[in-house]
Amino acid sequence: MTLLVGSITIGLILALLALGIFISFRIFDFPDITAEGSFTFGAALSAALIVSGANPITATAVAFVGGFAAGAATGLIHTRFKINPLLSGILVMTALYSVNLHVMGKSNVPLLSQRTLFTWFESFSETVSGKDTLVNLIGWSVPAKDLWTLFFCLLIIVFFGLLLLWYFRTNIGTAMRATGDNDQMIRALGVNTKVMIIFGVALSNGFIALAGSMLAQFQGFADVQMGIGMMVWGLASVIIGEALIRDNSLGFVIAGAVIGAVLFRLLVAIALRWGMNPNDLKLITAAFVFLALVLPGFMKKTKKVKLIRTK
Amino acid sequence: MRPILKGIMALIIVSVILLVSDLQNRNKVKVMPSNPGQLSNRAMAGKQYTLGLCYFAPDASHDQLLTGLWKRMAELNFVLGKNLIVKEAHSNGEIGNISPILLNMDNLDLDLILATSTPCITAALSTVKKHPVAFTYCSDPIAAGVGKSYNDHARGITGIGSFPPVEKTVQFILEAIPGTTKIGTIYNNAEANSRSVLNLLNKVANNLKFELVALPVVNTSEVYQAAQVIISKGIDVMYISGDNTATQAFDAISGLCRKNAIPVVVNDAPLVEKGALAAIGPGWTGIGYHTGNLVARMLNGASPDTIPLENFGNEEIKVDLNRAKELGITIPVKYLASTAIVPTDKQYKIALVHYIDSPNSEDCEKGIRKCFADNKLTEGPDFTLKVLNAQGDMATLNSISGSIGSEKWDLVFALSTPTTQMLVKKLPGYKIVFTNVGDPQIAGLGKSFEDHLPNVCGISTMSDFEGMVKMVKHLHPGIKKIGTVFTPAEINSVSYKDHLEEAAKKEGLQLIAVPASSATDVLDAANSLVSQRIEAFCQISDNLVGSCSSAVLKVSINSKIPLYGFATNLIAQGAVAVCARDYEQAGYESGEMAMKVLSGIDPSTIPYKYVQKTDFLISNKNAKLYGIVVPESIHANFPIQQTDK
Repeated sequence: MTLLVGSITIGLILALLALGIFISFRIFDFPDITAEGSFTFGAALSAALIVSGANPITATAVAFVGGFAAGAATGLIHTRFKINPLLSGILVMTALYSVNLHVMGKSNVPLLSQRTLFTWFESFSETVSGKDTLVNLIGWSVPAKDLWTLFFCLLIIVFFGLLLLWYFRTNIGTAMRATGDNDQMIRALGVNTKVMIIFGVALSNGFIALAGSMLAQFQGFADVQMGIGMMVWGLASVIIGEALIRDNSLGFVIAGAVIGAVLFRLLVAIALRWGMNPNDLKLITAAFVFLALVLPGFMKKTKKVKLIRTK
Repeated sequence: MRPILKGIMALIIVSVILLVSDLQNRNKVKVMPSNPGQLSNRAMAGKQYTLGLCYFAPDASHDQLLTGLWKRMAELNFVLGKNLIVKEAHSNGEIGNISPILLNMDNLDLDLILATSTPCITAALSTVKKHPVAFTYCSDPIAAGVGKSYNDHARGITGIGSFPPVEKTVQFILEAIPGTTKIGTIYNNAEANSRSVLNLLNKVANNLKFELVALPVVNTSEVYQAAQVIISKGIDVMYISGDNTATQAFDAISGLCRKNAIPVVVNDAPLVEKGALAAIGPGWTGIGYHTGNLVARMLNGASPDTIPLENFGNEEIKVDLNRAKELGITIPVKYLASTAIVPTDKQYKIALVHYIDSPNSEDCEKGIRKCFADNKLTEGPDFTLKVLNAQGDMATLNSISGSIGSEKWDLVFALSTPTTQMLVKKLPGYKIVFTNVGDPQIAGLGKSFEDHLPNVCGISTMSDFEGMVKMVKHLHPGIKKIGTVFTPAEINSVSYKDHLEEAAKKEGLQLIAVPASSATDVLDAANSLVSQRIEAFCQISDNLVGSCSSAVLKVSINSKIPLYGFATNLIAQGAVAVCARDYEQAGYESGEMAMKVLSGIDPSTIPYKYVQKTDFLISNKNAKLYGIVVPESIHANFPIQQTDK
């Protein structure tokens, strides 16, 4: 059960990453690989700030701003200098590697004895449910603080999900969505699409950096290599979510990205729990994701066949 | 809301699957063991131990570490798979994977979690809550965040750090290479261990009055350039410590230093074979062995809180005296005690190229090395053997042949058909000896075994078809028809079929060969052989049929027609007998051929040969299933090894 709770918590944290990837890839159709750099950038910024004694909330907010700036850089490089979106992402991502090393001053910053968002959640749990309390959940004993952490992560992701939903329904948000869908039309309406793209990629990387910051605080360290592979997993989460929830309206798509991220972590946890050969881990994860993508469509087909037969 | 419900349903289903797999953990909350009084490090009789092992990614040094660890554990009566169960997981080199792995381990019923490598140790500090943690394979535990000092460390965790012997290495450099004023080094700033080493190196440089030229790199592709820059600054010696990035690109460094006659000193012994002058380093096998004591103690319940951290070095010194001679360096005698290399005058430079990591290819290499040893040639003083492996990748094989072409070699071993073809084509002037090649004629290496390409010779490992037919005839007197499935699309398969047919004809047998073009055809082809009334299967070993041999075996068992094969694994699956080539022998024979070539005989005058030794394996148990009585006389005629009584 602790495994389940822990996996869902990590899934919810990485759902922020999925939301970020969702903005750039789905809303703007902008293949943005700044993600691998900005994820680490967020972690590095908040880790460095927390170590130097800053308030965890400030540190997390600064991470968001940092990611936002990194994304804006990618957007600027793309729109002002007419550089291919992939290459602009690569440029910023590569540059961020050095920046991250400078920010942290070394390759790995431990946050073990520091006050982070998560130590706050734990101390909240102590005051509410008492120290080291175990909660009995259908036969499994789960530490109360784990449950509270999960609850807070859920709150955070629901908050940001709703924020995003609200934002994309405002005038400027609608203009942003239209930029991705039909930029000629929206330009004709007098919207500056370049600004929209810069702002959108920036917003996307802000979310990604936020995810990096949260993950660093959750796992207790920031490392210069922690961003590697993150973009692929984020994209996988978005696509799993889309495949599951076949509905194009904004709210459902956002919910889908979150559900996809959690589902993905659960699948990895199952692969781990079944004690597979360590060398096969990635293969099995790939197989699981494949199944998750294919099964819904397959089930639909078999249902149709049954209907025809009963007629 | 319906679409969301679907997503939530999926989440619930997956969660239930996870919970069901976790059922055994229900209500089993482990309390951290804390009885420091009991410090025995031998396994208690009748007790079952479970150890979780979490590491970053497999690599050669880590393998050495584990070898040492399991050796010590076995000495302390912890037998792997018997009273010691190890649940192992690695993060595939991704930091993001470490936390979930450790989270999962923390939920298992384990006695101890062993975390190796710095990122895993740091993750264990925050993730593991219910189990004691031991660690090793870390150069600086303090930098990893385990504690403030070796005595004042985090609760629930203890272990062994192994800082590279930086001071000793510098001492060695200054003593062996007098007049050294500038030492160069290349490191990756992102590696915490390298930063620690560099800090110490800076201090040592101040004390011993030499200049340190350190250049940071970000990845392996920058190493070559960095080495160029550093050499242009006029360094006397290059020192590469345990930096992973520099070690990965060591060939670039050692190649450049060689060109500029600059000695390279390292902390990893395996690098001496790659061109380093000397290695003074922690022996990982020894460190693993030492870690065994700690792991055993903690498995028996010793509390990590009472055990201080430890720095354990176990230094090994390895020197390449031939390289020293080249560079005109005399190594002080006190450093030679632990090296077993004796210099000779003539040193042969030999390369060996594998195409893929396969047991056959590895056995060939083993045979070659054995042959060199039997001829009183020691690696190092008498010859250097550079082993390359394309890992099944044709593009890599191209690069390998390119890199071989950029140097002068006395001899090149090619250990597969594509390797031989590639090397022969790209390196016209080089002397090449091949083995693990099925049919050199088909491979285009010559018109016949005698009339072949210049500069090439070798051993063919084609199956012993004549031996097989003779054995089948001996077991089944009066047999007329044998059959095999073959693959027309595989050039080797067709050639094997033709050779088997020829061998059968010689003994007065008829071979019926049925083609198969895909895995699904194999079963049908085998059935059609049965309907053509064959008396025995003599199944050739090609790639397609080799991978679905069980289909042929199934038909053989159903129809009670015995099966004979050319690969040893068939015996275990139910074949009556096999006659398989011994690849170690093939390697040995190609080694003998190499001796001739090295002694000055022109390879074009040496005819190709089949490998001499063949393993005949027979299973009485399987024979009985088919009602075959194995006559005693068979032992007089064939060098048979029985697999069962």
